[in-house]
Amino acid sequence: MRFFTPELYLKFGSADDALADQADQQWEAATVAYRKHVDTFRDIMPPAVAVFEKMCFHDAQLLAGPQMPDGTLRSRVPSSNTWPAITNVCLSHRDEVWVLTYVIYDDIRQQQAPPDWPNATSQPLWLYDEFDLADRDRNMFVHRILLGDGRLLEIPFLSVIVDHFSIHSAGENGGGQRAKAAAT
Amino acid sequence: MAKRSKLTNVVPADSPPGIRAATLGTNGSVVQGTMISQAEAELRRKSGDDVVVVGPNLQANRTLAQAIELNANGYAQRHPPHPSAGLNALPHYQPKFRPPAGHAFYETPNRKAV
Repeated sequence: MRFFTPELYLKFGSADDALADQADQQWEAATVAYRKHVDTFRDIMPPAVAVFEKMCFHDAQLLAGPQMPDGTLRSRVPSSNTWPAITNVCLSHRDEVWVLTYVIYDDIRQQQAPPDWPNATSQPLWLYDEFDLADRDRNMFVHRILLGDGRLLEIPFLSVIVDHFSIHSAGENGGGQRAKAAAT
Repeated sequence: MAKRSKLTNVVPADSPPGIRAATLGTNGSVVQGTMISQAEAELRRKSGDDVVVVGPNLQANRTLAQAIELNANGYAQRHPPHPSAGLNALPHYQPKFRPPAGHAFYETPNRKAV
């Protein structure tokens, strides 16, 4: 994370009031700086990415991600090692299942939780995310996601399809009502 | 006759925080409802509803929001406002594990409930 760093997140939650107050101001500054940064490449975002960038998945539970149960990253790289490839992230959020299908141009990177992370064993909830530009000429983006267990996922992507359906209607109707939130 | 100074809604910085029932509005905003007691706020949080602590003092707001969440759910994790949730999003406390849903929001000098 370039703006909403794990260190700033930890400082925000500090029991020391002076530190927490300082972090409150720093978070505000990071928010302003991040919005300005995203505005510098909003013009080249595909429409689906522009919609996705405004979505808030805070507190969503990661049902399935681009990693195996043992923590290693699942390889979605085609055997011929050609790009692009795809990867899915599935979330449970406000009684809906969300499927994020990224068209990726490189391997997904994962950074382990900092050693002082207080909730390393907690649920893998979606905390904060940021979008970044990797290459303006080739419309390459990076999506960084900080999870509640302290891990950081970095997804290099070209575009994304966001799909969602109701958990309840899925149970009642055997498949449920699907709604496409955004399409490339 | 002396001119009377215009009364405004300026709240003294040392005034105690208040607690209100809350709901989520658009663009991450927190919509404040009726004024409630701390006990009522804790009941709302137990049942997964939102509350918001309002007032001009950041530390007092934060401390009270934490107490509400701790008393209601036994654990209070402090989260900054989410950038994607818009400029009206508020920092909040929430339990370590869901359910219950909801948040104990609190106002800051820069961010207010609507």
